Amino acid sequence: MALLQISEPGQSAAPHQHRLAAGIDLGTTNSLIATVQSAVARALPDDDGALLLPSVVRYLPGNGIVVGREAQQAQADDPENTIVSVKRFMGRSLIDVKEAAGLPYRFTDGPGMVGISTVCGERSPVQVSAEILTALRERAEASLGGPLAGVVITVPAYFDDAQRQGTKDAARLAGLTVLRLLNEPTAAAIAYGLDKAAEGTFAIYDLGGGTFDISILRLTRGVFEVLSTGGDSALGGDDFDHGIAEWFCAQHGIAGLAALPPGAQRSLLAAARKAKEGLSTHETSALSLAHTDGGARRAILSRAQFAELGAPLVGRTMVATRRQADD
Amino acid sequence: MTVSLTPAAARHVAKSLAKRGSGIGLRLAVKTSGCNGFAYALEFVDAANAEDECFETHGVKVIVDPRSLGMLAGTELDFVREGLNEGFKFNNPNAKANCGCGESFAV
Repeated sequence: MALLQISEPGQSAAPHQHRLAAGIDLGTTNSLIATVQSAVARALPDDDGALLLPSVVRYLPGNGIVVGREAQQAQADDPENTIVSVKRFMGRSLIDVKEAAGLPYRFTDGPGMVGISTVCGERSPVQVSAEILTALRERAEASLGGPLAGVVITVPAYFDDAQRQGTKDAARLAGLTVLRLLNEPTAAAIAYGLDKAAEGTFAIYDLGGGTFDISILRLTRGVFEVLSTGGDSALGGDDFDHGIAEWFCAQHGIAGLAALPPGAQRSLLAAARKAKEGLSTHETSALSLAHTDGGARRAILSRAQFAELGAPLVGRTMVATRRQADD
Repeated sequence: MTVSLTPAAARHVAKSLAKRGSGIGLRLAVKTSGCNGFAYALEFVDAANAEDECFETHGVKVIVDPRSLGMLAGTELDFVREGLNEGFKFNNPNAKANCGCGESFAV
């Protein structure tokens, strides 16, 4: 049911004269764009049917830019110019980026925010994020058949003003009008319908692709207040995929995932993820890895096996969850 | 028969008028269009016309033209929040059918 707004005299909109809007999850590891059509929220796929856009941007010599899966695949070959997890640098200065030494990027200390030297010159986290947002905007406009009038972008509840402003600047650079930035746990709570539920205190457990966030929200008269946030910035679905891949290697006498050539590592991680997702609807999933001799190595992953592999990881999320619940 | 506002709707109209800085009230009208025959319109009013009917509820003036009044008599205008969205909703006893989105109706 559409809700009406008051117009200036003589300027009431004709019914069904809608402008297009979309919601964006600008994630550390993956991003996606979704819209509500006939009261149902739906994520918009790219030309290949993929819903998730890996949050990876690769800069090519001659000012070329590749975003998403293709950029992700070049990560091993061109680490300096392939920016992953740029969200971690948004609105941060060089001293804030504690892991800088362990990363392959050539950081520069820009005013207020780090810069990254690439083959296309220096790029800020805002510019890198804008490339991801541009890819999402183009996907949505192709899918919806018109320009987007505005977007809502989710940000972590713990984002400070500089990080929020950086996200808004990135959107503007990508040609998007930000209707609102929404805290990720609040978005999850609304999607789950908690805003229609009784008032109370809720824990939002958000295990993303590469990060884990736990937030405690209080709902009072339809308004969510973030009471506390915590989590593990280096724990997510990718770690479960790695666990499955290592288990697969052990099954076949391979020393470990790292012992495989980069191409095989990627194929195995992709197979592990597919097998993991398959367990949502099936008791067991098969995964296989092509061998150089032309044959294939296979394994069957069961839910019980997956639970065992994931137990230490889930255990780590529970430690953070209990800590938040106690505070 | 009158046209009224719920207290929530009246509060929001008063707030909107104050923010706009001018205007004497809110016009409720019905236009012929939309997917179900008629559509609602909500507008600020700077000056009422001679033939307009004026109702006052919770301190807010609601102005309706005579042609629209026939289809709006008994209507209550509410202001609701749905998720992140908020806006006005018509509870119109004359409407026999609403279209899915609620923007137009049939009598």
